[in-house]
Amino acid sequence: MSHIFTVRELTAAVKEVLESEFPFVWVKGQAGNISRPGSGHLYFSLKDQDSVLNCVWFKSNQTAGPNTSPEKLQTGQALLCAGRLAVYSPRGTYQLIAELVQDQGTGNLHLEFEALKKDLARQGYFDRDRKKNLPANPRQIGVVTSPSGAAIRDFLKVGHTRGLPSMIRIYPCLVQGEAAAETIASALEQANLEAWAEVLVLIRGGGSLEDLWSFNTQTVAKALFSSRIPVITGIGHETDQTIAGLTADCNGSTPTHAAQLIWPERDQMAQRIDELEISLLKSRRQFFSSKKQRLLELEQGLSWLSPGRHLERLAERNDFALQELKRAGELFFRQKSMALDTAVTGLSRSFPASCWDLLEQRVEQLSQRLLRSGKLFCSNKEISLEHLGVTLDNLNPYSPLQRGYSLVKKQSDGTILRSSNQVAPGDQLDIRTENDHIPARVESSAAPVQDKNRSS
Amino acid sequence: MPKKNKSFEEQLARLQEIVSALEKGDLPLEEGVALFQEGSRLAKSCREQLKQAKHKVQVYSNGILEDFEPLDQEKEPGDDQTKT
Repeated sequence: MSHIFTVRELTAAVKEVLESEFPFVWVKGQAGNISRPGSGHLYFSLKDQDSVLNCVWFKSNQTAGPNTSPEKLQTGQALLCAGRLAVYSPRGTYQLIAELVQDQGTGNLHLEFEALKKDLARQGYFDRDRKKNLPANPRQIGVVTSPSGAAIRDFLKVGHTRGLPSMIRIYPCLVQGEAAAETIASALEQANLEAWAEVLVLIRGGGSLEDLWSFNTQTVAKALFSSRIPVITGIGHETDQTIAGLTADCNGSTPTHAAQLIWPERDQMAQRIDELEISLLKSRRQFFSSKKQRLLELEQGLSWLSPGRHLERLAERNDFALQELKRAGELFFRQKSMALDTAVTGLSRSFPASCWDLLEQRVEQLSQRLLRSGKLFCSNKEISLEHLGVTLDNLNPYSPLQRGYSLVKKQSDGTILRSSNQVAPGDQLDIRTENDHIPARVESSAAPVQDKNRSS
Repeated sequence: MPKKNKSFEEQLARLQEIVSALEKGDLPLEEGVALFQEGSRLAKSCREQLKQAKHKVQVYSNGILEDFEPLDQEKEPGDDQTKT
C-alpha cells in the first residue's frame, strides 16, 4: 500500500530533495516585486519572459564588496544572484536564499571564479588520474579546520559512529577572512611535513559565498595540489563549486559527508564481520559434510571390491552374455527366413502372369486356324461333289432326251436298241422321249446308215 | 596463524580467505579444523576492535598537541544557514 503523506511530511520530503539538489546555484533575471520591511531583509523576485523565482536577501548576507548595494536595487534591473534554494514550509513555496546579488553588468566574482577554474583546469589541477585514492579504514587522520567551528563538531559527531577507533589530529587554521587562505595552505603544508596522517580533511561549515571565498583561491588550490597525503574536502553546503573541492582528491559536500566518505559506518562494519562469521560457520558445515561424503564414498568403494560382490558381478555378466547369445541366435534365424522370403518373391516375379496369356493366345490362334482350314477343306469337297453331280448328270442316259433325242428299247426284254440286228420285223418296241413312251413295231429290215458323222 | 599486529582490513581479508578455503573443502581434516578456529578468533578480534573506545582527538595548540573536546555551544558565523 502506498504511503499517505501528511502535508508536513510531504513538504519536508520536497524540502529535502530540493535543498540537497540545489545547494548552490547561479541564476540571472530581472528584479521585481522588491519589498524592504523593517527587519532589513530584502525580498524580491527574479523573472524572465516565462518564469518567476522568489528571492530573499537576508540582512546578514547584505555585505559590501561584490554585491550591489541593497538600497540601489530597483525593479527591472538585470541581476546575477547566487545562493541556495530553500522551501518555505508555512507558505508551501520555494525561494532562493541569495548570498550574492550583483548587477549583471558587474558580475566580477563569478567571472573571477570561472577564470581561475579555467586556468587551474588547464594546469591539470582537476584531472582525475592525478587524484589519490583514500586509504580504507584510516587510523591516523589530520583535520585542517578551525577548532572552534561547527565543521569539526559535525565531523566528529558523525565520525564517532564510524570506522575503527582512530587518532585524529587537528591542524588549526582560519576559515574566513583575508588571512584564511594563507593559514589553510600552511596548515596543509605542516601536515605534509609531519607526514603522520594517512589522510587529510579540509572542512568548513556553511557560509555565504564571500565567507567561503578563501577556498576559491589559488593559494589553497596550490597547497592541495602539492599535498602528498590524500585530501578530502567538505566545505559549506556546496557540491562542486569551490576550487578547493575541485582540486581535492575527494570532495564531500559537507563536513558530515566528508566523515562519511572517510569511514564506513561502524554498524555496517559489524554487519560485515557477522556475515563473514556466518559464512565461516556455513563453510565449516560444508567442509565437514564433504569429508563425511568422501568417507561414505570410500566405504561404498570398499564394499564394491569385496569377493562376494565380485561373484555377483560375474554372475551378472554371465546372465548378460547368455541373453546376448539368445538374441544373436534369434536374429540369425530371422535373417535366414527373411532371405528365403526374398528368394520366393524373386522367383515368382520371374514367371509373370503375362507368360500364361501369351500361351493362351497362341492356342487361340491355332484353334482358329484349325477351324478355318477345316471349313476350307469341306467347301472344297462340296465343290468337287457338285462337279461330280454335274458330270453324273451328263452321264444320265435320259439326259440327251431333253435335247430331243429318243431312246428305243425292245419291249420284250427292255434292252436298248444299239443296232438293227437286235430286232426282227414285227418286234414290239418302246420309244422313249423326254416326257412319254411311244409304242412301235418294226416293219422291215433295217438299212445301214450312210452318214459317217452320226455313227458313234 | 593470526598475529596481533595485523590491521583490521587484513584480518577481514584473512577471514574471507579462510571461508573460501573451507568452502573448497580439499584440505586435510586437521587443517580445516585449525582454520575454522583461526577464523572464529579473527571474527571475535575484529568485533572487539569495533567495540573499543571512540576516536582520540588532539589539536595543535601553540606547537603542542592537546586533547580536544569540541565546544558544542559555539557556532561559526553564518552557521545558522547551514542546517541540513
